[in-house]
Amino acid sequence: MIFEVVHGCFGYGDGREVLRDLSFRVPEGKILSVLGPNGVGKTTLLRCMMGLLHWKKGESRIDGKNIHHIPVRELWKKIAYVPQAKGNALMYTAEEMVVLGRCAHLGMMQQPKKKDLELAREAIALVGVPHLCGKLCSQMSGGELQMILIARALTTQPSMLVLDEPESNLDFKNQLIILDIMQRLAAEQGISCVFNTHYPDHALKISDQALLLDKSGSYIFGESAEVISCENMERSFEVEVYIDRLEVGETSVASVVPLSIL
Amino acid sequence: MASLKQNHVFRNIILVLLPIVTAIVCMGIGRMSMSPGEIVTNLFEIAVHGPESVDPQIYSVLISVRLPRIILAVLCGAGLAVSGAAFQSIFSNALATPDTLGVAAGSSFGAALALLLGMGLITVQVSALAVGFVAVLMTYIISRQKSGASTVMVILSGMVIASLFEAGISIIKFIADTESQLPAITYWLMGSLANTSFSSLALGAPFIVAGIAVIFALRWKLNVLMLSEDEAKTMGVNIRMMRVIVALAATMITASCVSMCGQVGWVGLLIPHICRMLFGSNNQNIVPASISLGAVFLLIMDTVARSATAAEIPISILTSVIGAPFFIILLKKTGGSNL
Repeated sequence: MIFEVVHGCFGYGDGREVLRDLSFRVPEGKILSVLGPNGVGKTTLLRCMMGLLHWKKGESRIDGKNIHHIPVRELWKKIAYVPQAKGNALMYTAEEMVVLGRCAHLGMMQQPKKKDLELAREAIALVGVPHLCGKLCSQMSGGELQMILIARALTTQPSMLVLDEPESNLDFKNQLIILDIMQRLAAEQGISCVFNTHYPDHALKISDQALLLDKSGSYIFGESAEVISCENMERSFEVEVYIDRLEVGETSVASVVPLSIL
Repeated sequence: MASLKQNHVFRNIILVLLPIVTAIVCMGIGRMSMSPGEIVTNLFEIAVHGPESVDPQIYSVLISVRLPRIILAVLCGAGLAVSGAAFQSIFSNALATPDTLGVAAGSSFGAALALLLGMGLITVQVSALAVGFVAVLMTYIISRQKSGASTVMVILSGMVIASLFEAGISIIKFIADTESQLPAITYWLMGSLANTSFSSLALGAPFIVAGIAVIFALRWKLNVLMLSEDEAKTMGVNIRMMRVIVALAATMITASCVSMCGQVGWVGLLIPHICRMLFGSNNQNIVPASISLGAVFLLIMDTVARSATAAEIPISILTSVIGAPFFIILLKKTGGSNL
């Protein structure tokens, strides 16, 4: 599946344009990271591109077809969304929550079957939290809930995953698990991923392409390593940065270090 | 809870048997009391050999007097409990019930208006349904904000709408003929299952059964409505259509119950909450459990209402007397954590 946004513009009611003439393309099995300072419109971008908010101008397309012309169930079989795990007071158990990911695959009056439950359990195992199966979502920590929401998205068996700051609430190990899952899904199953992040390091580590937004409403889109450069980061975040490359064993790890406020 | 889940089959058998057993026991209670065994044999005789095979007095008490009332109690109990569970999902709010949303008041107003104008039972039904749906729509629109509806807003809007329609009911009482209409309307508003016959059941029951069937069929998808707006949309469900269908079904049930037996409060709040405590929040379990336990609850309440004293006690008084303390205990125990 090829996902693209063509000349997307968006602004909230007050007339100020948040996103101006955005165009980008996510080919099959590629990972796109979205970077930018707080309040610049990263989440807005994700919501617009999935059709949860309507572009003022322009459109999102899947394989060349405007997503508004795709029936909802078909659309949400292809795209799975992982929202930020904010305080979720729902009294569902992890398993009940994850199996909801099968919704788009089941008709209005259908109930989840054994196969759906198995898929849910597999997804929970894949994100490495099988011990949470019977735990209530309302009693989970932010990190635990995040892992469950990711499992829910995987249960949909989508062609593209959209994640809103998936690693924000997580500890080091869980961060690596999430990044690793995205990488594996992209490489092995050709599932493309789009994710928002506040960690340029993560973007450099796993993403093929990056989209850097800045407050003026303009953006830079391209290969991650080119987009996330000292010069671009300084302009977007108004912070002086240093990009360090560590040689650890065979691989090289890039680390973006903020130095001072400009 | 885990053990209950593993025993799905066992649990389901209990949920099916409980209302049947309760109905048979309740059928035997009254001025002419009968043991469950006698009732089963008599019913069996009637079913197999026709009405003439039993004592005509037994036939008239069991079939003509008690059976329609038992059926009405089962339908209204199950219906009100399920519509409570459905409203709680639509509003993703554990306090949403036909009473708190103003649906019951709206339906009552619609029904009372039709009674005032001397309309027939069908018109009473339709009028109750129409005004009830207007009420829930108004509550929904008022409570709706950009960021979704908060618990407080839903309850406050429901209160406002309910008191609006209650004022309407008061006006109707005020202008009703004090000799004939007023007592009828007042007594009916307090709720009673007494004036039931097979012909009135035939008018109201299909609506209740159809409403329950719709909600039962959609029970798993109801879970999606509890998620936040964005999340729910991304599950590939047409949220708006689903809300309208479920609201219509639940309002239809409430309106039919109201037009047949007046306002019977508390069932829609109490029963789904008990089910949640027993089986967790999954609507796949809540809906069938509410049907079963709601029926049992109203059967018992109605049996007490008709047989505890010589005169009949209005049933809404009983459900409130039982319901209010129970809910206070529930609130104190959980600290409102599952609201």
